[in-house]
Amino acid sequence: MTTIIDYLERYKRDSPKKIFIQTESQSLTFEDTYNKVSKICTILNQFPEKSIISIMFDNSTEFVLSYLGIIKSGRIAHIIPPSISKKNFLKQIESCNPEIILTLNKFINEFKYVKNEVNVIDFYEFQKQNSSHKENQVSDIASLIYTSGTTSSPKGVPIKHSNIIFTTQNIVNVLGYNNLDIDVIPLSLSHSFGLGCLHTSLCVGSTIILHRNTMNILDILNSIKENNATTFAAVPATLTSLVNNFPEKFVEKCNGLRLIVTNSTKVPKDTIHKILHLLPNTKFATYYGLTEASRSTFMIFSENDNKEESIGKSAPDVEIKIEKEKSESKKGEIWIRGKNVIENYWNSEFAEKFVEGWLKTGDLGFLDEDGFLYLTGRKDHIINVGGEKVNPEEIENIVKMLDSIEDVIAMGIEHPLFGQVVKLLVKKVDNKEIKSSEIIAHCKQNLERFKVPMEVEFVSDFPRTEHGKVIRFMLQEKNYGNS
Amino acid sequence: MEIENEIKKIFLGVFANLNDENFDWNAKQEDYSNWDSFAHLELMTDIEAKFNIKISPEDALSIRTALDLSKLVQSRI
Repeated sequence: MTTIIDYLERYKRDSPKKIFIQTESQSLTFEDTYNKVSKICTILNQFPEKSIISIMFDNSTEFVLSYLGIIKSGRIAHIIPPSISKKNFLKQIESCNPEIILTLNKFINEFKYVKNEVNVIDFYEFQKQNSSHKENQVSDIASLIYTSGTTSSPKGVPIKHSNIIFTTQNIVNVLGYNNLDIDVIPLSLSHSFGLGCLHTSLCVGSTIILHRNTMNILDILNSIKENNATTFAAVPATLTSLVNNFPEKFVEKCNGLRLIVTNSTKVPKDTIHKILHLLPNTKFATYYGLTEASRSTFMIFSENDNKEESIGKSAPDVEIKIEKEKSESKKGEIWIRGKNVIENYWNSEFAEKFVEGWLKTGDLGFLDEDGFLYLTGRKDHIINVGGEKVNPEEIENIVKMLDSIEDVIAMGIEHPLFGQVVKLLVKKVDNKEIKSSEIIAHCKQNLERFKVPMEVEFVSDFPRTEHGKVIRFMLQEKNYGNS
Repeated sequence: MEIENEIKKIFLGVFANLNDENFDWNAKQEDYSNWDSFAHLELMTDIEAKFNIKISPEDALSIRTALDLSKLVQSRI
């Protein structure tokens, strides 16, 4: 079975002294990376074959070494974003029951309360443990990432080595990555977009300039110039902020880039036009995908006129169809089939999402006469905050913990930078008082940052069916979402 | 002193895990596990509203610590 470790072995052999990863504080050659990964692999041999090892790191060499070490050892890397809420952290741990959680001391302090249940250990302490050499059977599954479900439980997405290899080859072929590339990546490696970029660089043997996050946009621009970067991957919000606030710096620092790539959150039309105008010689691309079906389409804006609203054509050997409720309708649910699509969710939950190899995405859209795909919304009420999927029910359940709340609805409202943010409509219990700041403070305590509402509006009641169920789409139509 | 207290209050409001004991004026963005772009936007809008000032995108991006923010506010009022 081919895995990404085969790529690492190739470049350790062919270009051992070439820099593979550079962060603000550290750089590792392919040889350094291979040696450190091999060490971690041998320490992991104390755990059963094909078992689950969780990792919780921000973007760092520790993330990359742990992730590759787990994969080399044939075990499964369960990736936990450090921004996770305590509640979801516990749900994930309960769902996949890892042998150990590898992290850094700065994160251990925040999760002290679970320490007795699971072995949470600092990366550098772990490296002092005994190692043993043995041949392991390799799990088909490389990694496990949880995403927001349409119920209150997150969905575990088991990604096989075959999914990764197929998707990575498609990225390389469509976007032309090669071993001369220098890739600036400020995206979280805990998400499919960032992790896919890591796989791509490893596949072609290019150099990654890894940034912790997109917070310091100007540092990233300087890094692009100073490192003579050739590719830059960023979420639409980062690109929009750059071209709107720093157009001259953007041109000055990015004119050497051959490729800018972004992801499936709809890119504002204005941002596309500005990038194409400011950097006419740079390829600008986006893709559509889910953690469950990574890079299902590719769209190269600079090569397709008048298709800015589209998220592209299906990736090589990936099928996309629109499942319409009425045959005369143009729109319907987007279904995807291909080797990039997972076979099932963790513990075989949510089996209804798969039909004969097709994944029902829950996204709504249509295909035009040239085969370009367009996104129009969601079949359910999932909110997309800057590319992060948010289930409104999860927020509502948290808010309902407060005594003064009789009922609450969370909904997505438009936001210029993040595409959508969360707004709450709140019905208070009669004769009880609560301030919006108190509700937001409660959300901050119990939810990930991107799920925290930006706006709270108090209402007297919601439109309901005769059975008392709130009719959500009527709330959008009532323009609550545009206030 | 009053400005500093208000800024500290805003930090404790934005970052639910901060309290009087662990709040550090010199702690950098990378020392926080939860100072992301959402938190940053909230910090800036809270500060703008509290002190009735406008923070430019360039200034916003130069803020790396609570102390940076305090200096910026003091230079504006």
